[in-house]
Amino acid sequence: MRQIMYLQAINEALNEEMKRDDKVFIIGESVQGSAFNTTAGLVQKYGVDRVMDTPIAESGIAGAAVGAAMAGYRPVADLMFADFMYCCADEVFLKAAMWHFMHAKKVNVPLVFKACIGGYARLSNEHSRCPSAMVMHHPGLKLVQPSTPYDAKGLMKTAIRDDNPVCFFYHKMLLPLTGDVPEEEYTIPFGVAEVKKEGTDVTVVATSFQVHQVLAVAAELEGRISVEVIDPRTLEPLDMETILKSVEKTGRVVIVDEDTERCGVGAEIGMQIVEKAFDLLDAPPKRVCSGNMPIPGASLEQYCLPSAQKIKAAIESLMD
Amino acid sequence: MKPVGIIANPASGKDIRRLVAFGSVFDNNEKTNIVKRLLMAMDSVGVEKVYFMPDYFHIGPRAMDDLGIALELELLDMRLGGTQDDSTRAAKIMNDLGVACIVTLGGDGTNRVVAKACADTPLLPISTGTNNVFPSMVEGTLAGLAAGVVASNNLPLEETTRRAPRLELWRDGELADIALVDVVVSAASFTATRAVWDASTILEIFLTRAEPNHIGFSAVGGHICPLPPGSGKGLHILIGPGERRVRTPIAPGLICWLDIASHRVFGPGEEIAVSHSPAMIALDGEREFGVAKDQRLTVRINLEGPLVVDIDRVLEGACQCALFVCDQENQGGSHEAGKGRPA
Amino acid sequence: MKLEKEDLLKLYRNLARARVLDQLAIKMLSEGKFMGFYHSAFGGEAPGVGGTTFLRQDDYIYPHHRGHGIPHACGKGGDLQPFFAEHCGKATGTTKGMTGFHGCDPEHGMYGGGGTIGSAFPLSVGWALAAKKNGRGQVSVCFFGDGSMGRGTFHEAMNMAANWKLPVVWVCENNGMGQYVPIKDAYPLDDIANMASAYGIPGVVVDGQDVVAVAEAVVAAVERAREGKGPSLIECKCLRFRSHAEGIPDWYHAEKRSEEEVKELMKRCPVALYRNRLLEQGLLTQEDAERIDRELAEEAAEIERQCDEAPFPDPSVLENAVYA
Repeated sequence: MRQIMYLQAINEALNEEMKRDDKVFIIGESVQGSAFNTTAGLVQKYGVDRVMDTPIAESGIAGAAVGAAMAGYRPVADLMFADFMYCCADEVFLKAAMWHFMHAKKVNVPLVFKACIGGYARLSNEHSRCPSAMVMHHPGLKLVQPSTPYDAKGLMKTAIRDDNPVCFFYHKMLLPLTGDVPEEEYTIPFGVAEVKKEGTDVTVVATSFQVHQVLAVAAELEGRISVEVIDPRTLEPLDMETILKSVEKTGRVVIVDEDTERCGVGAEIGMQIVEKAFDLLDAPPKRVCSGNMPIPGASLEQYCLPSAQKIKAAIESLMD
Repeated sequence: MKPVGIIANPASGKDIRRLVAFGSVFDNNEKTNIVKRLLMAMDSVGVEKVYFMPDYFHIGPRAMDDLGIALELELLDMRLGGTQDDSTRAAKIMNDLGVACIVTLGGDGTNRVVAKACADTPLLPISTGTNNVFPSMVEGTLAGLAAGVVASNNLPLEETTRRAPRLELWRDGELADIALVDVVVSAASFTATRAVWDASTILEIFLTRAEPNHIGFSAVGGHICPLPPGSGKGLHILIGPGERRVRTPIAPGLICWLDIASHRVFGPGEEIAVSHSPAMIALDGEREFGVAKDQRLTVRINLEGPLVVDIDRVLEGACQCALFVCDQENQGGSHEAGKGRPA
Repeated sequence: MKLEKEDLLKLYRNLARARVLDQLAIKMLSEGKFMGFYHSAFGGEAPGVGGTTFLRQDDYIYPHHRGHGIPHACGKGGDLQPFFAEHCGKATGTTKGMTGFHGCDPEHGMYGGGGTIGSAFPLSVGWALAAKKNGRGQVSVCFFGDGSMGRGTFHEAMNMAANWKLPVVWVCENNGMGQYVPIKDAYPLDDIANMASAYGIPGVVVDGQDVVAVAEAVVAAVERAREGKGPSLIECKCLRFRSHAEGIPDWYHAEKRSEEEVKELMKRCPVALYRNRLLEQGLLTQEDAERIDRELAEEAAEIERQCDEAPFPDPSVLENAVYA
């Protein structure tokens, strides 16, 4: 099978969906040239009316996307860095997420907020955040965090076709990652987690870039501790069934997510596990997340974000 | 040195002609600049006191800001209604205060409402806009110098000013209103956005002057029966199928054909009834009031309208009186030159 | 577009209706039938009515929160009973009781109003974008108060719309007050229309108490937009006769707004001004005016009755309500 980069997989998904449905258009800052190359080459194919470069105006971009979506279009609003979502919080969280409910389902908001997340590039606090928990926390927004090129393409296509607002968070460290992606048309449904690696001793639920950190640790621990790695792929809807099935097998679970620990993704999944599978647990759930602090830049970044050592230590601690 | 009054209409430039025609936008920042130039010039020739009509943009105080001049600007103590009545009231107050002249910044409409109350105080109208006939397109500094010369009282009024005529609307034996340039009778039912831009609603026109080289309804007359200012006559035109058609610029960028049914020159002492009722009366380009079906409205021309400063004559006259030039030994700095000692 | 007699009478009826229904809303809130709050448009109905009466059904509008969309819906068309039912929290409301607030009427291009001031602007850009892409000549008309122009969203939207020449008309209902803060203390210049020139679009000021002036100006702006000439900003100088919201004091900063001043303002009641001019011109007779008053009173009574009788929504509507 051919291998393509994660960023190319996203580009292909956008291209295919724009070809398939002329209501799909991209709007955002520098999308024609494409800050991360995920939208590169599209303006040449679809023109400036469907790949729209905007001024620096997050509220304007997000709000225009909401309005156009309500009027029957399917915009992909590219917010560039997910950190910039704070600039358009009203439009994302109060409008996009909530107006379908507020209008008694009379209007849909079929859009995608596309943004890159994550650290490890030492870009400091306002270019490294993963607002995953914040998105999960606001009912009405679906949340997609693919970890592989295959997942990225299939999930982006589903996101565009979904009649609801979807946050598509792609990790900046994954952009050059290559992986198998078939030529044929395919989509991946939301709410279906994937067991990225089977194991028997400890379940590790990992998101986005952390999937790869965890797989590396799991390879290192192979022979001593058998780690099962589950990638939820979408955090809303969240496939708890697959996670609980694994916990039933292992009785031990670590959640590894890059968003801030306090009230984070780990808190939510961990609590759900305790609520639903308390009797199946041999030990309390653990979480490895970013520290409860803003994300430092430069050389200090490494002490805040999840690291291989912290992941390994967490897994090992469950085996004591 | 008498004081000078300034009435700057803050409203012009934001009417519906911005949507239906192509008038220039004389925003209030630009008017503030003009006032700055006026004040600098007046100060330089020794004007000590300027009375200024207040407004919500604070044109006066903004203009004084950072000028560093000796002249004192005093805002009139008056309540603002935010309507054209403010200008009329300001003109009355300034006339009562005995100002040498009232400098106006605005269009035909501004000067019209000022003329209602300025009595014999001369007007010095500066045009801020392109849809104007009455005020001059004069640079603010020159206007300020001229105002200062008038205020210095060194030249006789007969030499510095001329009388402009006015059209008068009479209803039931009483003077209802005036216009300085044109009265337009239209079929519109409401004053609404005031401006007149729909040629198809025009029924008849009265003019104090008819010149092809001016914008607006004066140009209609200018093409069929030119009447220069100072002719002492007025022109009455009935619109409708008849004699001929005239292509005319009724607003900036808005050129249309009007059918001329008939026209007649008239003079002071004559009284012409408005031929249509019900109708809407527009004065100097703005719809003002309606005439009801059974009402009788008549139009007269009165040659004793407001006094208007003739800037060219003033500045030429000042030159002859050596108000701007003095001998080398008397020189006390350029701003002293105008402290007005005739030759 | 020339306003013929039937247009002028339609405008009157819409205006009179907006007044009657605003008064009904005040009454129903005071009687505890309305849940939540109400921001009366009393005195300021003309911009909403004048700005919507001559729009197409498929034009989009964002109604100003003042009046909760009542004046705007009166002009735009549609049944107003569900607006009232929604405020009573009933299942027959525009959003089935889910908001108790939003007048959402997609068939008439009304998609509700946000609770954050300034929501209007980017959404209106979105609808204008859709309108442009649809290619049918639709426009997006965004109504907002003087208070909103302080939000950053105003600037972003004005800029984006002007830059792309989108078919949007910005209609500011400037009643001089942003809750307790007078506009003169929230903005250093006189007219909000000044802001238009910063974006290269025309800005016009009209008397917001004169419904015909508003209609004339908005019609001209809408025609420009339909012709692809881009956005414009119409500032209606209007008035607010009651406090910002029912039940809260009518403050000007930290002091009560002077009652004499309000009495003075009420001399420019937009409904009375227009009715009197129509009567003077013989376009409306006294009998017509009284007949209209009676019909509107009947409509108001019927609206209230239907609200009283309608059921509350069953909590089961909350299930599966989050996602499409």
